Amino acid sequence: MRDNDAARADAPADPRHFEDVSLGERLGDLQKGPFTTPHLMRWSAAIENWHKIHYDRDFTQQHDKLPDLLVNGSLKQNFLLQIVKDWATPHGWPWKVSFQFRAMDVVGSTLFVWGAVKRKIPLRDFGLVELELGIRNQEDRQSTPGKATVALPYREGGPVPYPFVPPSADELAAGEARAEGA
Amino acid sequence: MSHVTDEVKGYIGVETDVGRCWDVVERGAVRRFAQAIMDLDPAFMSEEYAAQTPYGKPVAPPLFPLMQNRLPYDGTDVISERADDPDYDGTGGAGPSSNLPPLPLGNLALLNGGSEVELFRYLHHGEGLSFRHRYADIYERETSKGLMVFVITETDYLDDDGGLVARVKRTTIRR
Repeated sequence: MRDNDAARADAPADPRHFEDVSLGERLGDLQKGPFTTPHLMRWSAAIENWHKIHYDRDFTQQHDKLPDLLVNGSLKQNFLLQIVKDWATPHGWPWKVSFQFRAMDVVGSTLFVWGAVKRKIPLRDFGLVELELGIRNQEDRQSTPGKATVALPYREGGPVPYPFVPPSADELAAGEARAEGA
Repeated sequence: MSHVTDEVKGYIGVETDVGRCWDVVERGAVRRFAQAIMDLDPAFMSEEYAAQTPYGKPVAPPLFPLMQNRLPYDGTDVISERADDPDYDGTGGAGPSSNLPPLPLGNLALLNGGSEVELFRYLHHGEGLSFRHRYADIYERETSKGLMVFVITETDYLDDDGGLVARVKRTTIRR
């Protein structure tokens, strides 16, 4: 799947059920870029962020001693959300997503977003699926590791509540115990 | 030399009042956001598609609320005020943590170190949004690139009924 994939359906896809998910399963890969200065400027303008390290090369290199203009972390985090959202919703829910910006991605980079299923936690009314996420560049350097927890409906169960109601600590602990015993 | 002095540590736990975003969720802002992240999900714009989802109506992208704390109409024009300052990096005046008091860390450069996001619902076009920030932790660590200061802020994003839309824990690196 490439960025700005316009081949979107007119109606939501069939639900992805908890039972259909396998450990190690890969989410669909997503490519973004190669990033130009206008890409970075378009994002900065959309969110009214005027931090010079995204468009002023002289300031970035001479003042902040950075290698080149940086792809915004605030932009990259949306790519991780997109791969999770497209995999789980609208019938599931992307409850938690976390990410770390461990390495800089600079202008000119092409980014590849990936995800994989790490653990399944069966709860009473729906299941939780823990995902490992990441962004790598064209040189296969990983810059943005992440994790996510999504809620998916059971095949014979009701819908995942929306707005989402997180499980209680006790329910989550019971589900984790069931996952360990599985 | 340590940057995290007792004065800096005194900011841990400091919380803002609940503030309201200047703008409601504008359809045009959703369009620009979706185009900039290159995710043309029909749920963001199509009434017909959204009606077939649990959301019922078009929604803003999941992380849209995190970027909604904008400079008020009569807010301080930091860009003009610091136009002659060679150290001005373009930040300040607006942004996700802008109404927390600034930390006395001098001109240390600022980098985004990552976030933990908890989502409860999406925002619809036309909805208002409020927020509350707090400094959750401030510490420093010696890294391969030198001494770095880690600033952890937590933000609750609230809808017009006070319901939680999202809760975010951000790590900002100063070096």
